[in-house]
Amino acid sequence: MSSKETILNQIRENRPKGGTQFSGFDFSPYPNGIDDFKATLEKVGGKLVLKRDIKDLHTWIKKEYGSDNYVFTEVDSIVGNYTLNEMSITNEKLNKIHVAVLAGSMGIAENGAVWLERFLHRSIPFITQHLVIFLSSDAIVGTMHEAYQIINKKELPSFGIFISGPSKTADIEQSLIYGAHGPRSLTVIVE
Amino acid sequence: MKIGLFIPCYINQYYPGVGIATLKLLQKHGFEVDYPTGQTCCGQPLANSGYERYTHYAINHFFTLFRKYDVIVSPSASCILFVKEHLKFQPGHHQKIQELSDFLVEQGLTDYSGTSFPKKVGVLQSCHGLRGLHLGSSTEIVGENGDSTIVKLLHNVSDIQLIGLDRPDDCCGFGGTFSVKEPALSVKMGNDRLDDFIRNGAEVITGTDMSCLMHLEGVIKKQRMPLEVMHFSEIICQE
Amino acid sequence: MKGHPELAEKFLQDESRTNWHDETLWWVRSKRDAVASEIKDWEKLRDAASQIKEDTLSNLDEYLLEFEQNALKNGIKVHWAADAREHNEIVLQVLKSKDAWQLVKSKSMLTEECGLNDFLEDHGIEVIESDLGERIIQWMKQTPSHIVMPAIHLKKKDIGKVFSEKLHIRETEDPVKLTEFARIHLRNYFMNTKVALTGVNFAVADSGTFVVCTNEGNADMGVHMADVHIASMGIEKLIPKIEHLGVFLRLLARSATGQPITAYTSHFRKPGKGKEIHLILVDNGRSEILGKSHFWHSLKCIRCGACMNTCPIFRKTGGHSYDYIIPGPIGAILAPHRDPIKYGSLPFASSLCGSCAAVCPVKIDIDKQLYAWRQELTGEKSSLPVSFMGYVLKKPGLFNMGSKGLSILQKLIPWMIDRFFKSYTRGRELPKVPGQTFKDWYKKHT
Repeated sequence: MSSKETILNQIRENRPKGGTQFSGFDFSPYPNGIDDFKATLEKVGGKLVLKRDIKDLHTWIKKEYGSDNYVFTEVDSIVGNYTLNEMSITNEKLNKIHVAVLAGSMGIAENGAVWLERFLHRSIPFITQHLVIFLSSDAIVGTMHEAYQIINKKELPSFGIFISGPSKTADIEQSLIYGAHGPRSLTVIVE
Repeated sequence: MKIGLFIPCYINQYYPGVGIATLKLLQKHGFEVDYPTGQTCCGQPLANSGYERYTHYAINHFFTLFRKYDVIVSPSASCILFVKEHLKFQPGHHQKIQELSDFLVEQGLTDYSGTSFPKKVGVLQSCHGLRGLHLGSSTEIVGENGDSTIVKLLHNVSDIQLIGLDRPDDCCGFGGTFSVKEPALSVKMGNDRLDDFIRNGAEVITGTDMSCLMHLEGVIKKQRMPLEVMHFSEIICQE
Repeated sequence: MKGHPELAEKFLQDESRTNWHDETLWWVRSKRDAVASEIKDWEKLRDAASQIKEDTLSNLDEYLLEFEQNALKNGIKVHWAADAREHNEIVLQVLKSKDAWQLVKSKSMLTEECGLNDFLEDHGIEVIESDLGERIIQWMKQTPSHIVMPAIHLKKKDIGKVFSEKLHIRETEDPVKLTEFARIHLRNYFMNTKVALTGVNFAVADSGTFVVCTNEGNADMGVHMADVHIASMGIEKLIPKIEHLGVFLRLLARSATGQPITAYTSHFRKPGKGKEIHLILVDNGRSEILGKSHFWHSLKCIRCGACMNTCPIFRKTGGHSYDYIIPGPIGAILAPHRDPIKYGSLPFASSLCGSCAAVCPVKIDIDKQLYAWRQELTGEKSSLPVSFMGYVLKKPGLFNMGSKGLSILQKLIPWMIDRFFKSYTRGRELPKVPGQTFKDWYKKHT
């Protein structure tokens, strides 16, 4: 008998009775304004900037990140100077990305997270030194329940991710450090 | 309403004053109180050590002794919790079984402004009373805020000063058999708890469970700390 | 064989370290309280999470088959491992099939449970722990002392020293500098790895998807840069539907570290183009626990560690005092399944205060299970002395005699009574014998 059969048989023999299907509950709303989202995003170490407050996006990038070299972008309003070809991507090429500019499809105010799916290579939001995510202000919802209602409306992407703030660790005597292995900073540009 | 008074074994043995204060308090409020003298012990120490299967003697005996009363009241949350859990399945069991502060609050007997106790008093929220009998709101649970039964009884005692704690409901470290199975840790927990009371200016520590207070008193005496322990019944019923 | 009391006593000897450890864990508990109180539905979420897990476990075989079917459709390879050894063999097989001699790992308590690292190293595979805390532990040849914060028992000084030894850098205690060194050191491995392994926080039956929740970015970086992603999962990590993730993700990080959510919550449904995902479903005793009426609720655990942060025993004696891969209250109810003799002291390493059950996001009745274990652990043997003690409790005459006897002995030979109860009297005084018992007083006055 295969392990699969062994395991399933043991489960069938032992499983308890009486579990009932969860049918949801009326969850309390969480405010979903830009300011609400901004407050939580800042608590988790991220930054929020309104697109209308930035005169020129390219100058802004240069100022924020020290250089405009190796800027990889999938957002039209920012013209990057580092392109990657899906056919010839290598880890070395990915590792050169200094700033990655990606498009988020949803923001969640209760935890400052942004939902991203479908970008060129799954490692980009992690390997970049700095991450910038564009988000539409009317794509901000209050809670995770609403987020999954939206996600469930269509087929789940092959890979999707909630990103909340920059990478972080507190493993060294509970000192919170931003920029563990992933991006050192996260800025959400809301338009 | 006839009350059957249940005085736990260690109160009978070491803190008779708590039993006396409890009895007098209930009588002062006009209740008919009976103390079945054949009572022994609820059996909790055996059960907590892993020998619950030998506690049926104690539980059956308890049930027989107390079956004629409408309400069973005791100045000990942990013993009450134990008896409640074990009488749950006893056929013929119907009574209310209540810890003393819970009983008094439910009966609306919360005005002790006629009594004076000019001391700084810290309240030890015993774990079984708090999380088992819900005699107050525990800090883990979101959305619960009310005063505990013991605070409701003490807060208008004249001249009393109820002090707050840094960790309102951290365990004192008694835990019955725990105190002898893990003695070093039990004493450390007791010491830390007492430090919290001292830091916040307590002169007297009170609570619903003399067992926890006995353990703390043991540490206080050993360390010669400037504190004393009293069951709350002895505060609101002073003779 | 050292049980919890001996290990705990040893830990307690360094009082300043004990106090530091206690303060640190209490601070994490306070952070949890602060963020939980921001969620009006917190208690409702706990009820929901508990119900979802109970439903899953009551129908685990069906949900597992649904999950497998959907995962296979998505192109994920699904393996079934009945025990730890089988899990390890599968990981080794995958490595060999890719001609890989190195494995980059992110945090997984399941792989600790299976002893994966030692097994792979015995077979010539270099294992690189990429989670900062786990890497530190690996270098120091220690085991994690907490399931979420593995290096919480270590001070900056200890960490600085091992960094200096392993990376040949000047010794520093600065967390910023240390993190930067770790970033550079580990990124090399991410860049050059063929096979990477993660744990699984949640697997969703209705879509054949699994979710990994992390903060550092190492888990994702490892798997996205590798050719093969191995995901090791305990069979109890399953939930029925995608929308249920809303409930668990609102509870998990808040309970674990006081964050509203982890930095990364990655949903894997299909492998990347040209890549492979191997998901290993591991039983290793879980299906057996499922059949134990007092204990199956422990399988609801989502490994948040909240019980550890609140437990006064854990805070004051540390994870290593439990001497089991999973410490704290949840460890105390899981370990005895593996070895009731070796871990027999763990269910007694508790005052039964109930704080653990009150913080548990999936409402596991941990305190009741600790009590149930105590009954099981003494269960086999009949004990004449205890049986006699039980009998005395229904004989008031005998009981009163015993009570009187104790009073007399305590008055006459207090030092002997102190010695008899020496484990109690080491740090405490016994209560004094009053002039009369309550019964004496009652008989006189009524």
